[in-house]
Amino acid sequence: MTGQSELQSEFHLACKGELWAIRNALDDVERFLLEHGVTRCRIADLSLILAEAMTNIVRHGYRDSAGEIVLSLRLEGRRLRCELTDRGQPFDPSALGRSAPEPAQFNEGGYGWFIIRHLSDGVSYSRRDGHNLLRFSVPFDPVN
Amino acid sequence: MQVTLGRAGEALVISVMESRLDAAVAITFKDLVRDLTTTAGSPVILDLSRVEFLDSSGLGAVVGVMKQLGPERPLEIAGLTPSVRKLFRLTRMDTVFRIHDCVPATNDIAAAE
Repeated sequence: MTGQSELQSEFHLACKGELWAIRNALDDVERFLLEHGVTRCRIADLSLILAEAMTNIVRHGYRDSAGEIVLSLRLEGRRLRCELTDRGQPFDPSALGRSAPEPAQFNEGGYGWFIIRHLSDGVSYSRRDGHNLLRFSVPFDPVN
Repeated sequence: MQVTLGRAGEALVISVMESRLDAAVAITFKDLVRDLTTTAGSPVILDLSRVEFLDSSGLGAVVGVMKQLGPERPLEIAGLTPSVRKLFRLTRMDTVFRIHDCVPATNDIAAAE
């Protein structure tokens, strides 16, 4: 495989909208990214973003129903573009706060969207044909 | 979810023996630690040196443990791995918890699952 085709590689995965399934999905994502020379540090960041976004889908989108989460990753130049799709309840992330809860308040939740926004770029959400579509990207800096 | 309980002087040390403290185990973790902290000892030091992945649900569970313990028994954190440290810094939780770089040596009391 040439370097060029590696840079254009894509990864697709569908998993059950359940918390335990997220772990297996993240293991597969990590394997894919390691094969493409993505640094451990970037992988840790992306795993955290995906964990937060997918947990939100399970807890809120699929609160009253079961369903799948579809994840697509695309290595594009120096960006890694990510898409998450589900058929759960619609939501509006723009309505959620951009700052983290005040630490001294000792909130047990409310950090998820802050983490997603802080660690990724160009977060966008759309609702289409009964699907939620969340898009964002992170820098891609292969070791070699 | 596996944790071990140890003692370092007056402190009770709870070591998380898992590589992930995430949404899948957050509630189990909180319940398990609540049961274990019926054992006396203060402060309670949470040893996260084996945890490579912490998400906001796991962090929320740590905060929940701190609240369960109440003001008389402070919760302190020890042994943050790089990605866990990053989440503490990002959420500024490193400013409100006492964080030990090293996990104190302990005499083990028990292991629980």
